[in-house]
Amino acid sequence: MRISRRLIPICLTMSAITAVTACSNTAASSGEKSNTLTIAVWGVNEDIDSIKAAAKGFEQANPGITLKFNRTDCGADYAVCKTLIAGRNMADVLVTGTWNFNQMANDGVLADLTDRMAADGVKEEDFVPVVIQSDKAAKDGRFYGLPMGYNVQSLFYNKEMFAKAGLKEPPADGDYTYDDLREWSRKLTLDANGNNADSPDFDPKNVVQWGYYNRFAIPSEPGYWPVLWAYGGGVLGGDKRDQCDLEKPGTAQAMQLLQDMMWKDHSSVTPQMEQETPGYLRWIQGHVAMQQGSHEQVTIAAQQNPSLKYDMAALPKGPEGNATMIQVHSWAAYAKSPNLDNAWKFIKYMATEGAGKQMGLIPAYKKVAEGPAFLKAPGEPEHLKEAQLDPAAWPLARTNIDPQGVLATVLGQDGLGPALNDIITGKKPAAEALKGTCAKIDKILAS
Amino acid sequence: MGETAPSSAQAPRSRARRREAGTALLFLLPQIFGLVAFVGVPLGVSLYYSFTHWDLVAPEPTWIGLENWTHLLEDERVPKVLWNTIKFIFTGTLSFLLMSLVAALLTYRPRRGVAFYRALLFLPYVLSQIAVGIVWRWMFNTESGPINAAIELFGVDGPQWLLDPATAMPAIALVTTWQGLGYGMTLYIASLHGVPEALPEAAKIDGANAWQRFRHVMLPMISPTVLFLVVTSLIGALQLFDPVVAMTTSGGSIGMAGGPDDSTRTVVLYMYNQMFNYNERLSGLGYAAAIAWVLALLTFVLTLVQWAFSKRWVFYAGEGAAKKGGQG
Repeated sequence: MRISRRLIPICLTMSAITAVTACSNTAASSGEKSNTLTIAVWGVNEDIDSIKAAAKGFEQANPGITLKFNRTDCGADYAVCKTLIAGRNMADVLVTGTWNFNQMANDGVLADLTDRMAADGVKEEDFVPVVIQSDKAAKDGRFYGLPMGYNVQSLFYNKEMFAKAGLKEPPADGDYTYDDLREWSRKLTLDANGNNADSPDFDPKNVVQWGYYNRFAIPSEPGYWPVLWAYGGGVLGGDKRDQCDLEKPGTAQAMQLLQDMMWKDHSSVTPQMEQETPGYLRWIQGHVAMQQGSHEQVTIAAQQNPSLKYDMAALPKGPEGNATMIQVHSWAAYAKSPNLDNAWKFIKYMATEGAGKQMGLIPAYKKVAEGPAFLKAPGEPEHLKEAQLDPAAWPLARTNIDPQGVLATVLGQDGLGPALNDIITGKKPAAEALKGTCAKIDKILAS
Repeated sequence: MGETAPSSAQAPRSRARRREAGTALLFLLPQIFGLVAFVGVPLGVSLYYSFTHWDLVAPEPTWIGLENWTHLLEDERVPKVLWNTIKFIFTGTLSFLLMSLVAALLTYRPRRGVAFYRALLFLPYVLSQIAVGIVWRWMFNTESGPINAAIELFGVDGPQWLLDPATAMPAIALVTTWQGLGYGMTLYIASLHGVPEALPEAAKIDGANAWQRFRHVMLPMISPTVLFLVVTSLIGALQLFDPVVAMTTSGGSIGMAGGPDDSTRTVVLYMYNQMFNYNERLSGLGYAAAIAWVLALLTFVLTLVQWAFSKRWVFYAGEGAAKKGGQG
């Protein structure tokens, strides 16, 4: 029995407590105006390097402002921002995500940029509509950030595997259905003897090539939410995401499809296989034919398997049409920063002139996104535009905004967590597992 | 003179005692300062926060009186997380105490190669709990994990381990026992070496068999170590967090750890959820501090109970002799 390491969460809580009394700091919360702008960044090394590279132009244009990049998870994880704020060490500028942006705006952490945008002529129309909308706070419709870029869920497929199976490649514009996807997945799944999942001799215990991977196996919302939406279901619905959609028939149908692909067809990577090696890596290594993912897969494939021959297509149609999920990363300023003027200058530059190539995201600034710097950049797949840019205009292209700040609880053990576990492990049919979940979610929403 | 002589002799003694006490206090000051600054003050501050609501973002906490405490009594999740923690005490703590004793009994006698086995058993203790949790998560993998693969050799399907509410907590208990075994074993060995060899030998001459020698001679002699391990492992069990997070986190968020079906969410994990993951009316530092205090009080009460009961079964070698000497 080890005691000291179990004290970590208590120490975290205690450190948050003691942070209150902390007084020595150099960041924004010290309250002193400075020419040094502190920027909280997160992600892998390549992400941070890409941000620094993009900021070079700002540094050249503003020699009087010194940029100081602080690598923290603040922005990716709101809890980290909270401890920085309590310790009076919060940065001037941060990168938020759609998943926590509204909660930060609701708590007054982010500065209102609306008037500054108007004064400097930064227009809403300059950005991809669904993306810029996510930078408006649900509480008052005002802008509390500008997009760094966004991720769109698309289908990534291995061209060689499709050719070997004698299958046509998926239509890039998404003109195919989830039934087609399921059928291809079975044909693309091979056991050690080369039998595909349609063959009567297929050995599901000896699969060497899977047809499909969806992050439902983790389970992570960018994976299964687009499928739920395409079937007319969802987790939280309504403009303010304050309605439970889990007991809509479409939710069960979509989850049943994903469960069947894993446990009935044996053509999709299961949670157990995911634990051993993540499905996206299996796809990059050439052991999975299709995966649902976002643009970051392009960067990972280029680094880890440059010889992989792949392309991408928009996600398929469900009964309600084509749906995809968009995750937006936004530049935002800390509301209590003494350097708000410089922070705004930096945010404006990074979201407009300096946009593109930040954290492997698709730029939301139209001039850059539709220009040659992104669309014709070397190493980008052939159907980048159809798979990644065009779907952002679909009626069912939705972001994972969380206006109520309840998603962690909704998806956790008090909400959907147990049902999700039963579905992804094949213990219960989706409809049975989801029965009664809305009562739990309503309780969470009410609290 | 006769009256003044004793007081004049006492005065220097008293001065010397005071000087001695002053010197002792001086030496103790760093420790006292450390205790006050790093234990006393945080305890006091956290107690204060348990009467406030603070999301860390607002400039100051808001005083809400007993609201966190009354909410704790109404919170439906508290009995569940307490029960999960108790389940771990009954599985993890008991198996740790027993298995490390067995390991100690098997390795405490000097034999050829025994040092190697001791080192091997102690090795997991020096590893990171998170790393161990991740490795065991793979070991328990029902499709590709080696444990179920071994079970399947006997033609039986293995359990679902971390995917089944009935087996998830015992699986975590197994891992913590495996990791802590070396630590408990080392303490037991040190204690077993302190037992005079003449005692079990005398019992053997009197006709006691191996079990009787262990039960009536060795066990009472090592009972202070057993008590120490019972108390410390119980405290550790009440603070269970890292292995649960490492082995049950899904979707990349600690907010989703504690499954399946909420069967492994412990008090400390719930405290973390309320502090960092949840956005409910009272979520934040204040409610988390109240949970921390409940945990601290629970630990204190259980430790007191153990001390009280220990008088019945813990035997201190010198104590009986001293008492007998005093009575004589």
